[in-house]
Amino acid sequence: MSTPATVRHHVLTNLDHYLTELEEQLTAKGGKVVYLRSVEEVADSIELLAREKGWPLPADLRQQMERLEPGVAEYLLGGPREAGGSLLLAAGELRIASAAYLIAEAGAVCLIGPPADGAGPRMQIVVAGIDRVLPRMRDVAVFLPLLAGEGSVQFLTGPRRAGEWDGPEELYVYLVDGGRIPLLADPAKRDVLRCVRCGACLSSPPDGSPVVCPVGIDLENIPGLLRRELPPETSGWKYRLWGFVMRRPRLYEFAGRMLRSFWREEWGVPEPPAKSFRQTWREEGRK
Amino acid sequence: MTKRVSLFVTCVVDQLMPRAALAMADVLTRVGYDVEFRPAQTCCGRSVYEMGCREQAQAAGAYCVDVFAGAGYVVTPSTACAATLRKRLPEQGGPAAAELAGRVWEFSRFLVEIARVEDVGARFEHPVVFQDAEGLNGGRRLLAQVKGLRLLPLPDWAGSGSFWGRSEPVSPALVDRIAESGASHVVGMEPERLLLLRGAFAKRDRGIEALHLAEVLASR
Repeated sequence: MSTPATVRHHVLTNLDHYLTELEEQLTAKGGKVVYLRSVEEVADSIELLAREKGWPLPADLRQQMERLEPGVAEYLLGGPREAGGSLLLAAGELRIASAAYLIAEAGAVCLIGPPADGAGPRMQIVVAGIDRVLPRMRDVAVFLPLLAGEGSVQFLTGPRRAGEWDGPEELYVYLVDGGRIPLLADPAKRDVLRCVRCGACLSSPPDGSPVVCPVGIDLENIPGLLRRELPPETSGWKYRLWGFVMRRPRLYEFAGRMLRSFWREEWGVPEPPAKSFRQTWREEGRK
Repeated sequence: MTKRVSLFVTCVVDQLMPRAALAMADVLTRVGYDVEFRPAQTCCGRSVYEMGCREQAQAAGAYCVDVFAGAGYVVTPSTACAATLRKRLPEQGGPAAAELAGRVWEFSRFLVEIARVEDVGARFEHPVVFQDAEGLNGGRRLLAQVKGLRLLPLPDWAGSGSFWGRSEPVSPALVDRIAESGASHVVGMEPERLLLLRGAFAKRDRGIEALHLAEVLASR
């Protein structure tokens, strides 16, 4: 059965195949596929295209592009996918959108967000991380619920053909590495690329109770994974001192009194209480 | 037979949010428990566990086993510290550790599942947003019985930061979302998250208070 987890796993282990298929299908329908390394190259390429057309571009194009395709590290740190990740430039002639998914077999682009008005822009640029590809159209049905409620779903299957009512005259699909290839090459960490930023894990409390990741990323294992890569120094005197103090309540109370204002600064808590709980409890003569 | 509970205040609440534990003691007394505080207690060890130091975390866990020997129910205002004792103590091995793990309760769960009360006779006439804790619905059920309290929806807690990991502070967007919700208070069950929110509200000069659930339930 196709589940989000099995589909993402399959795609990531056969990414070369599906990217090739996507490119063949899109190109056959008149779309143009461009492979780019980073968001800088995305902005460069858009500037070149706009210059050819004589279209003005906003001065903050680069920042706006970073919002659409921040690279995988920022992507994974970000919140749930923003609805309507797109911008309309040059008086509506050019629309740049980040793809929700790309469908290899159909050579199609799936956008989620507000739909374009009327016949849409003349030139559509779609920006997508290389991992966004799905094998078949029916896989989309498995994934749309994860990003549900974020706007209308729109499919682009190439530029407008003779006799069609709407669609862009030109369609560019920018496939961006943005740090994904090194992750893909690392079998231990590859699975984090499965993330579609549905946001399920963000509701997790800091107490480590398990959150079921819809695409099957082993969330609880990630800290351990990173620690193996960069083991923390935990045998040092600071940890031993901590353990020593925490088994001696009087010392702990004294240290707490000394450290409370430091903690306050560290976490920006406005006013530390004048007395600890235990002090208050004792002074009130409770047992 | 009198019903007894022993407070596990946690180091963070002891030092930085004493009112939450005092309120917890009041509520537990109000619903009919004899409340004790064992002053030998310190910390569950979670901070060092999360930093990767299992050895000292287990030492702290073993110390907790000694402190709470024979204490009956141990109730704590921290969802995270409750989870640490419940999950990590059994890993230490030995019957005493497993036995303590089985009688540690997070405050809201204790009220709903052991004390079996939802209406603790509280009154709190303010609009609030509630920061849920995953897998715990007791907090909402308890708040629903508080007279005068208006619970506003706030579905998206993205960006609420973490404590020991310090991966990111509270996001300004979250502070804005809370301010725009019209709430005067944020109510939560995790002291560290509440402290981070307090810091963020103070820094951005928002007139919003972050309160522990126990503080709301204690007010009348």
